[in-house]
Amino acid sequence: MALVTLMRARIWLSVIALLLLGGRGGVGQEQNWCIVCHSEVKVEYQESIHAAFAVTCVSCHGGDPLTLDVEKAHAVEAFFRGTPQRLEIPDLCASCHSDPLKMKPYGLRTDQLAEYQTSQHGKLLAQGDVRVAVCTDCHTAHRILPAWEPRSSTHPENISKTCARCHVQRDHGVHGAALAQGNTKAPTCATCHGAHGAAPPGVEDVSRVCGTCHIAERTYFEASSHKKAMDEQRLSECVSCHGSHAIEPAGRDLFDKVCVRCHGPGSHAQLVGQKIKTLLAAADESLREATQILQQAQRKALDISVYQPRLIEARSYFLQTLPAQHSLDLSYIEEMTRRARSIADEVRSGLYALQGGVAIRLLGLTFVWIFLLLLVGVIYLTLRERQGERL
Amino acid sequence: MDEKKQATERRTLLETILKSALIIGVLGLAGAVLAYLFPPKRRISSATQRRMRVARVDEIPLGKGKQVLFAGEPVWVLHVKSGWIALSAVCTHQGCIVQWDEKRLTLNCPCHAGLFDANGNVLAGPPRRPLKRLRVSVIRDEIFLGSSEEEA
Amino acid sequence: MSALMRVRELMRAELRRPAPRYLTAWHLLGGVMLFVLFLEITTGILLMVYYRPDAAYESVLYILNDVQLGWLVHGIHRWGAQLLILLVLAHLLRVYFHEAYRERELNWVIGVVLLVVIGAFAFTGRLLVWDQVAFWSTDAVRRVIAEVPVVGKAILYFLWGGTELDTEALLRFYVFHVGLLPWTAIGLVMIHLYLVSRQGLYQGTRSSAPNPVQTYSEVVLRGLIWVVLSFGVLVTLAVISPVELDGQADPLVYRSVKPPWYFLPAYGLVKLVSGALGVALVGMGVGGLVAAPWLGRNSWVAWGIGMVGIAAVALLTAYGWRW
Repeated sequence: MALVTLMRARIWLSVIALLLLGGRGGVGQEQNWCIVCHSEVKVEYQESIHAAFAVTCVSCHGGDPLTLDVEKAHAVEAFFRGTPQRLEIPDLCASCHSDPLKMKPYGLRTDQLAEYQTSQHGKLLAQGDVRVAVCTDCHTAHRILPAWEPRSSTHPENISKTCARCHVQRDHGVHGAALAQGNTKAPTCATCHGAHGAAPPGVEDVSRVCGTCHIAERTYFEASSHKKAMDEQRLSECVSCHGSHAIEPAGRDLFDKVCVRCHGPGSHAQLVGQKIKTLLAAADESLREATQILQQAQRKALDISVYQPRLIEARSYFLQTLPAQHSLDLSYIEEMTRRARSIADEVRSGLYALQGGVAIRLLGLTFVWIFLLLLVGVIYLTLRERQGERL
Repeated sequence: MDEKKQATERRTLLETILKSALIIGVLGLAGAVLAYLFPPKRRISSATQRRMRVARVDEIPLGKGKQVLFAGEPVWVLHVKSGWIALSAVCTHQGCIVQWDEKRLTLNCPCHAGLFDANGNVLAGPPRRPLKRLRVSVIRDEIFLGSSEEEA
Repeated sequence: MSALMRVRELMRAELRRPAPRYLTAWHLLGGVMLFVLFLEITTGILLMVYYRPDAAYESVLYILNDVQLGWLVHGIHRWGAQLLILLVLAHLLRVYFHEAYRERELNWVIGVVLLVVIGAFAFTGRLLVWDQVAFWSTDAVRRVIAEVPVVGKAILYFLWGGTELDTEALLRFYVFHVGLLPWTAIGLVMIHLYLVSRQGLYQGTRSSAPNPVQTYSEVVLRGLIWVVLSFGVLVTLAVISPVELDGQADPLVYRSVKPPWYFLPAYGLVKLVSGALGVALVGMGVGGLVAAPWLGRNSWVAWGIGMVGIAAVALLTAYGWRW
């Protein structure tokens, strides 16, 4: 009787297990009885990439997955390890993830541990400080997902939250805003600080870190007189003017705010800054006006197909000037903004001339009215003549 | 007697003026209609039927490109190994005009260093979308440009 | 030659006939309307030379920019339509308050049908330029019709060629505008005029100061003055307020658009009473207009109903314009 009940129970359990694991593939899954009791991690684990590739509980925790007997399953003879110690987690993960042979079929890199050991996290852990982040802090313990999956804790959109479990959350500024708009190319914490090799970039490295994306800006900056001066004084290159983390959109008001931090008001350098600002503002203003008139002309159904590409060209010159301003090369900036302005002004005057066709129409209208009024006059006179005749 | 004769003369004069004025008016309107009906120089055609001659085949050797204006937009017509490719020259990031780099076989954006390959795919930099592709066709020894591939 | 002379003599005899003495400037409204309708048909035919429903927006741009005087033809067509509606309304009010519909009820009904046809002209013509304003003002009507139970969908299938506003609907509107409606309008106008000539003008009881004896040639000349002036007004409007397009229609970029002034009463009513009931009320308004000759048997009652009607339309217009 008891045997029958037990048999029934086992059948039921295997059915449940099959239902739960169904479709999750993986050769070893049918033999993983751990999650029958450890249901609190079941859902998390089953969503993970490990479950999909048959990396079971035993791989990290040891023990015997083939028994429902609590003692046997957690026996030391079955190499049961329990919850791994924080100190040993990097090595535990690396036992597979740093093995090129094991990772080859998945196309994964194997240098994470090496990178981690160079990071601030890894260095402190090596000194025995277990409060620092280990693999599981960022990747989670059971619900490990590839970074490209939007639910993953290491997906670009979630990274700032993941880092904020320990650090202050810093997802403000232009980069955070771009990310929030769904631009996954925008930098996250890891882009500047490194992922596995996370560390604050040194003063000399900042321009290189920013310059991986802001290539044109860095090239122009390095040609400028700022480069040498700031290196000598060990000033952080990009950060000095643009700040870090909560980076504001770079507007022309920066010329008023930040130049005076180093250069006295009225100094030659400060005047150069103001000159650049005026040049950019003037070009921007001309472009804006030309665009406005173009839109007006478009509403009036005038043919603007000649002026549209010219305006694209002018805009292109202006946008090229924006990184070029970091060179502090006044003559170059002057030349580029002059081109943008002259094209914009040309477009503007051309569009005005196009609208000037209205003057000819008004002239024509005047002639039409002169004729029509004469006609009305003649008709009126004829009418009067006929009525007068009758009287 | 004289008065009556004068009145009749005035009346006939007025009616002649009226008639000729009406005829002039109708002729003017007819002239306007004829002017309207005279076919304009530029032809209208729907997007799929528009085409533009770019160059003769031997004018753009392998690896070179030519920038032309098509429907108000700068366009690069490139001659690469796989054949002829036409791409919008307007960068998908901020709208600068990209330049063809004959040595590296890439399209470079001078503004934010966006980099595209000759198929329009993003290689590096801030742009997220590939460059818009246009239809290009070699007919005998002439290269022609057509509407964008999505429209077709 | 003699054939031409005979016709000329016939015309002259017609012009020499004495006209009714009570014929005033009000009665010339009809003639001016006829001229504007003629102008609409001619400019419409001219526009058809270059307009293409398969490249609607581009072809309108082409007419406005490339075709010589295309802007003028389009401008006259567009402003002429508004003038025509204005004249039709003035004519309707004139007939109503002169009680000229007495004993001519059938002609009144034909007149109201003509008003509806002119409205249909304006409605279908508006979409043809296929710019944002045209698209979204027509799409607003689609929303209203779609809400009408039972028949709403059927109406959409018939008028729109589907439940969505797309180029299929544009083609149908084009066919209605240049194919179906002109013939309907011309036919109705001919019946309207035939009935006027057979039944004669209503003399009324309180005819104003009679004109001196006059012949039809003088009536024609006086009408000609108004025709010339209205033509001048249309050309002026086409020059000083040229057609503005609002960018090609984009079905995924919403634009909140007010209907043109002549649809404001209906718009106000549908805004005020939403859903099928509002549409039904608009229909009842037109029905009331049809039934007007039978409603006001007594002069004073007719006057009262007219005043109430005008007040209601004015209030609805104000409501539609404001909100």
